[in-house]
This record gives sequence, structure tokens and C-alpha cells, in this order.
Amino acid sequence: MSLPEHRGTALGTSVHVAVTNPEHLDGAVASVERVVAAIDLACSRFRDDSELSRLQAGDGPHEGVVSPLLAQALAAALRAAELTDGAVDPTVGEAVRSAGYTVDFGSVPPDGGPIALEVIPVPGWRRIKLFPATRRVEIAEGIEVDLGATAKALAADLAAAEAAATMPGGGVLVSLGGDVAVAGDPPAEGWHIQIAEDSRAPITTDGETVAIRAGGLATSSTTVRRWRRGGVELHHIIDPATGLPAGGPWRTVSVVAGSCVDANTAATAAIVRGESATAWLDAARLPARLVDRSGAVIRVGGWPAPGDQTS
Amino acid sequence: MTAGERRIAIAERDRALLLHRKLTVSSGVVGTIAVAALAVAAAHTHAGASSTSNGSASSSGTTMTTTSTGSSSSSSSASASLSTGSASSGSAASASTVTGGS
Repeated sequence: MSLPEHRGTALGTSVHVAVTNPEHLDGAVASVERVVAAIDLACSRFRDDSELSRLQAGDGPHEGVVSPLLAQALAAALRAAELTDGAVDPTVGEAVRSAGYTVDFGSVPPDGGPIALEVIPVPGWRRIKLFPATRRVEIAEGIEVDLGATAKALAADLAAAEAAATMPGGGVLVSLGGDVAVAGDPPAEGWHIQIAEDSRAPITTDGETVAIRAGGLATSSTTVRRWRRGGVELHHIIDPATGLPAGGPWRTVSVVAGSCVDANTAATAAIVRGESATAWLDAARLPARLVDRSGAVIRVGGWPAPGDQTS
Repeated sequence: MTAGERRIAIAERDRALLLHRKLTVSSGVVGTIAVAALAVAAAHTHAGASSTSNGSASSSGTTMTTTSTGSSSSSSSASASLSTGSASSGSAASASTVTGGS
């Protein structure tokens, strides 16, 4: 099945838009580009002119009234933290930067000399206060907010919803670096999405593929966005309990959920939670596929076995 | 328990479930109205409702709180758990995109 599609780049990653009706493609792409640009301007920690950067400029504490979009992104991040018992925490900013991820990933040197890393728990999401009614935010001193874990997935959800809202019928798929959200009426057989460790991988004839009809599918992996310092491999998924790149048995986790941001939240939390992730995902009834460091695959929560057409 | 007693028990259960659903819906509507009223009041007073994502108002530090018993959430969704989804086995030949780390 070949659907009308558009491919591009944004947010330092790939953008893929597919629609069921070719007449809707241009409108869908315009919607996606508009939402992605807005999220970038609101949430990027790599742009000095982003709303988040301006809010956090200078020594803390920081406070102010933020735009509806940044308030929504902060709310999504805080909700993710709450629902994962802090495994996905937006106060990892300093930890990410200390590990060497200081600029947009395309500009992070892949190799470099040794750096000193300390085991210091991140400040914790409870030190960010958001007042939804007034959109007032208070960020305690010493906290650097990083919305990277949830903002991209939120952008996929919002972009898909906005694109679908402009269509008189039909459906749309939006993928931002492998964070996939779908909206509207899906194709008859659903949206078929191939699973990989790297979203840049080409579609193969024998790759494990699942079909979804609504919500989102996201993958978190320690095999991408890696860099080396002093001969040590580092990656971008920070364990809030240590402030260091997460260890644990899983290198890649894919999750299907009712939204892309929830799928991304669960996938990232699974990487951080380590051994306990399978029981946690199962209890939450989140279909998930986990790949351990040896490459062995475990499926939980109703994730279909390859070739299983009955799910 | 006889078959007749069992039928009565099932009927009682169904009535109880119906009543429970009605009460749940009613309290949900009331709760929604209450939260909406709080939001309006908070916006007018510039007080806001504390939201540290634990679903409860806070009175610590400089946090401003409403004086009502209501609470608000900073969540993008009111749900207390991650939303679930479902997937079926797909066809690689039909794949339109790839999910993976990025």
C-alpha cells in the first residue's frame, strides 16, 4: 500500500506525513509544519529565542505567565513525570547538558575527551509549579527544564489532530523522528508501521510491522543520539535517579498508546525503569516491544506476535 | 444458593451497577462544573490553582492557591493513567513509516 506522503526535517529530526486522500496532503503538511514550528519556538532548549529559553534565562528561580502552547507542553511533561513515578522528568536539563548534549544533536561532537560525571539525582518535577488557569509557571532555583522527552511526541499528536481537523474525511499519520501519531479515519487495514531501533532505517520486506488505527506509537532507544567522551559511550536518556544516562537491560522500547505522548512517555520510562518495566507495562495494559542489550525481543501488554493476525 | 436466589442476586447487582453508573456520571458532571467554576474564579483573581501534578493544591512557599477544596491538574489530560492503545500484526509490504529511536 502506497499512501500519499511528504518527507522532510524539523526539530532536528525527520518529519513524515502520510494521508489517505492525496487531495489532503498539502493541507496536512501545512498543518504539521505550523504546529512543529510553534512547538520549536515554544519548547526548544537549543534556541535562545524560544519561550522556554527566555523563561529560564539567567539565574533562577524563574517565573512568569507562559503561552498556551508552552503551558500545554509543561503540563504534558509534568503529567508524564507523575504517571511514571518520576522516571520521565523534565528537570533533567542540567544532567543532559553535563553529559555533553549541549546543542542541537547534529552539532554535538561524536567524540571528545573525558568529562566528569557525578551521580546526582535531578532536582525533580515537583519543583516546577504550573497554574493552569492563569498559565503561570514557577521553576525553583537550580532547575533547567528540558522538554525533549515529551515535546516532540506532543507535537506529533497536535499536528495530526490539526491536520485531521482540516480534512473533510480521511486520515493522517504524522511521524516526528519515529514518534508516530495518527488521526482521522485510518486506512481500511490500519496504519502499518515498521519497528526499528533507528527511525532513519529503511522499510524492509521482513521487518516486524504492526498496524494501529488510532492513538500513537513511539520508540525510545539508547542506540541513537549517542556520543563518546573519554572513550565512554553516552546517550540522551537520563535516569533522573542518578542524573546519568540510563543503564539497565533495555536498549530499545516501542509502545502503542492512546496518544503519541503517552506512548513516548511509557517507552522512555521503560528504558529508565529497567527490569521492572515489563511488569509495569503489562499492568498498564500498554502494548510494548522491548529489545534487550543482546538483541532479544520481549513483547508484553498485548503487543502482537509477528504474523499474528488475530489481535 | 438456589437458582431463584441467584437470579435475584444478579438483578440486585445489575440495579446496583446502574445506580453506580448514574452516580458516577452525576458526580463527574458536578466535578467538571466545580473545576470550571474554580478556573473562572482563579482567572479573575489571578490566583490560579496550584498544580504540581500531584492533583492537590499546595500552600507551601510562594505558591498561590484557591481557598476552595477543589484541585486542578497540570496534566494535558485529566486521566490518572497513561492512555492505552491497541495494535495488530501488520504487513511489511504495507508499511508506510518506521518507528525507532531518533
